[in-house]
Amino acid sequence: MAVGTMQRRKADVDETPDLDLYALLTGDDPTAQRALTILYRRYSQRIYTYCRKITGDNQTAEDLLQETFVKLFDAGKQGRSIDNFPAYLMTIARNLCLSHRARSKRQYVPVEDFHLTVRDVPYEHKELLHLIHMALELIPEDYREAFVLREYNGLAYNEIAEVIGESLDVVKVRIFRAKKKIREILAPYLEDLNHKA
Amino acid sequence: MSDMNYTPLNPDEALHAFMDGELDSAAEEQHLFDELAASPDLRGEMKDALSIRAAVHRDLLAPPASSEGALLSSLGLASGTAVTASGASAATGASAVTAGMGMRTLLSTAVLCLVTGFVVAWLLLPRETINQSNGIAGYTSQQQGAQQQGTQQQQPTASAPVRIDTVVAIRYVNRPVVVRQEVAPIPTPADQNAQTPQSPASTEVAANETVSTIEPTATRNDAFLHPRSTSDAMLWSARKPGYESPAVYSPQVIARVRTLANGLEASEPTPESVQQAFLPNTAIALMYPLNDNHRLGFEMGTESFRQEYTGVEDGRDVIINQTPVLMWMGATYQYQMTDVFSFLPGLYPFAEMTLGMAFEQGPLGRGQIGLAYQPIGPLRISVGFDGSALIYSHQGNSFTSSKWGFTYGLSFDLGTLR
Repeated sequence: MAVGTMQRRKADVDETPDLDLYALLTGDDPTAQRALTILYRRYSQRIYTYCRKITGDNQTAEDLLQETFVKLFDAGKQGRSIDNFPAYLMTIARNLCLSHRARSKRQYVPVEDFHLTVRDVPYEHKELLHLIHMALELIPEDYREAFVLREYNGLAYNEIAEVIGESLDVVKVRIFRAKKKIREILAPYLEDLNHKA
Repeated sequence: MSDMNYTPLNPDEALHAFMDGELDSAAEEQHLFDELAASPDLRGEMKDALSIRAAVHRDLLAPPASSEGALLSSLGLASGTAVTASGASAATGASAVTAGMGMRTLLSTAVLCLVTGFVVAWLLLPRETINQSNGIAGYTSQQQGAQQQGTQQQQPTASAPVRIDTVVAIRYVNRPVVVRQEVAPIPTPADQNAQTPQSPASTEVAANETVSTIEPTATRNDAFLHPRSTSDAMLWSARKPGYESPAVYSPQVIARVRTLANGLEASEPTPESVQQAFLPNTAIALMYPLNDNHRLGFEMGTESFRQEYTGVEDGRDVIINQTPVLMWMGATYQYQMTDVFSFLPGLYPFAEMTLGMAFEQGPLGRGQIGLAYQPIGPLRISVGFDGSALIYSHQGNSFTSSKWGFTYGLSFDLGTLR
């Protein structure tokens, strides 16, 4: 049990650009291993979150996460040139998720299998998260994917366009409509939440 | 509705684009601000969007910690731990610093455990032999001393008993009390035949057949006549057949309160968490003596631990420093040496180990070596050197924190359980 106020100080550990680390994958094993480890620690949360939200299964998400980085490692070893590392990595993950979905034919994710938080959050936030997950299930898959890439993965609109292979305008529309629909679904709860606040 | 019928931004579209950092036009921004000032509905929409975003950003999903190792193994590379330990110098020096700190912590923890283990082993293994041999040696030298007092001693026989006036001083371990006891004599066959009442203080005692040497004389003051432990008392009885041991060992349940090291440098200001905590770096314990050397019990306390660990937040590697005050409890084993400092009865060294859990953190281990002094009565003071190590995890990765320093304690004998 923690007593008192925790004092926190944060500092960035790694500032090496992604593309520099990616270039190191062509080096010898120890160098490539170190570079891959740093990239993994930098992006594994985002990729895992995306895979988890799209597939709805922890084990599948873990498998796809590993497969994503294996493909990244192979691409790096082969010296494949890329311009936008986050978008490239997310594209690999997305393609793997799509392939998995095509194989499994799984269209719907049980709501109870959709929620895993690694932080202890207040009850109100847990409830809101639960409702957001439900709302995500109720909107079209294209909208959901755009919303996840934007809100969970923090990709810019142009990066999302690159990942999903659509135009920037399409991305803007999908994100906007996803947000509007989610807000509509959550409206009663949000109204109550804002009223309490 | 098609995805492609996108029109110039209306206020709510501009709002979401602005919140996503995608509204580049200053004119559109100004128009949005004007709308926000004029429209309660738009302000409500912004509030809802912020609530949703805040909730989503708390919904971090972390892959299992084993994933990294599995990935590297599947690629034929070493595990991620090795990478951390060796330092990611190829990419950044900061990672190497972090890895170095982790290695130093692990190394110091290992050394501390090793030293404590050696001390405990040294205390445990030879002492039983030493105690026993001391008792016998003392007894033997006593015999020799007695035999050298030729005018007062003689070889006992069944027909020529010797006179014994025994005054035995008994000192209990942990409770210095002097008891005087007159030992009843063993009647000789002649006495039994005569059935004559005898005075305990002036009894002519025949040597028991099983005792091959003379008993100690009355004025002797040595370790054998002063049993300080259960083993001494048993030895006393064994060497004096027909006599009951004058020392019956009474285990005392002990309550102890002690201070713990805060792990801070002398020049370092006390963290706010420690200032606000109730009785930080304090522990209480209850211990039950298994015998005169070994004690088992449990201890609990609050303790500040400096934690420095790495993690990923918002996609960036970060180092987090904090000094939380943690509550912990665990099982304690203590070994104390008796009869080490003959010049000061009641002073003895001890070693102690504790294994437990810090709430909401992880396993905790600690070791202590020190001196305890019990001059008289149930009160005992102790001072020692204490080291502790905590293992905790963050985002699936394990970290350690250790510290050491002086500890001061006050103990009370609560009494016996039997």
